[in-house]
Amino acid sequence: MEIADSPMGERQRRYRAMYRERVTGWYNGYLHAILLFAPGTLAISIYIASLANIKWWEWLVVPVVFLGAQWVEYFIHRFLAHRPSRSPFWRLIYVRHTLMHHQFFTAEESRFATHLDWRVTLFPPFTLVVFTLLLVPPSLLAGWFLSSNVGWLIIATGTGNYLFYELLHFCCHIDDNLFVRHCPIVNTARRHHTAHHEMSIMMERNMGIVFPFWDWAYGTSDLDRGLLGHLFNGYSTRYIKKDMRRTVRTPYLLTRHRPHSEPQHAQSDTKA
Amino acid sequence: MPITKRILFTILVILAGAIGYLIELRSGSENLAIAMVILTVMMIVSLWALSPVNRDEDK
Repeated sequence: MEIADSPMGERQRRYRAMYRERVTGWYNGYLHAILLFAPGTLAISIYIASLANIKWWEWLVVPVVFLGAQWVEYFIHRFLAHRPSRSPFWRLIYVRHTLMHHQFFTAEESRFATHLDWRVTLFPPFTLVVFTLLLVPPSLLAGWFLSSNVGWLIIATGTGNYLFYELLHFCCHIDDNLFVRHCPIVNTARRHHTAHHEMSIMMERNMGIVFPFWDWAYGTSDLDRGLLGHLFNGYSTRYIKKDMRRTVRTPYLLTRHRPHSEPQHAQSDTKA
Repeated sequence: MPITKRILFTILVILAGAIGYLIELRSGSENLAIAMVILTVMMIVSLWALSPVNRDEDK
């Protein structure tokens, strides 16, 4: 069940075993992926097929919505997924991300062992439904007030951004192969995200989960290079910043008795 | 996701699907209207699928 030649520590090994015990026996990663990507792909196909006589300026919606969606992803990851909130909903995101995902995958071992581990990375299938419902009102308004093409492009780009995230995040946690090593954007995402799983920088670096645009814009990247260099960095470690504040921080501890306590900055607890 | 929220989201998906269906019909795309029905069904399946997995996480 576990990867045989893994350099992971005993703490991570125990956590992964415990996590797997909690997943019900009939879970199937392939079914999970189909339930996400099949309706997502069909949805985008319908939205694109609905475009007609598109004007040049209507295409501008695509980069605007894509970067806007990436910003939302960056913001949620940086300020909510890594910090416990008072809101039960956002605290659940924190628990699933910082306390579960980051314990299951570390910089030492960030690969799935089998498809049964995909549960740790793929969002529940209902997430696509929720995102689609969130995209419907702005798409309808844009379709009504601007043009039907703009409406279809908004919902298509928003849905595409979600599938882009799922696919790249998935690629970040599979075993190395020719495709993920050499495909532009994918190889960049893998290095960028694996570096983020390094516990000493995970609270403040590479917060754009799989796309480094907003890390470049806000200066939260671990690389010291321009935008194009960030997007097409690949596996290179040549430009990694040497003056990072590599503060060792453990995930904030959430307990029944101290649900909103101050962050725990333990200096010795990160390397098990 | 609690069952009450799933029911609420199912209703919203059906409403959104109906709007999409009507838009496609008004634009003369009958094939896309049928595809919209299939998409709505797939969304409802996704909404209800895999619910018992790791339920204790949600507590």
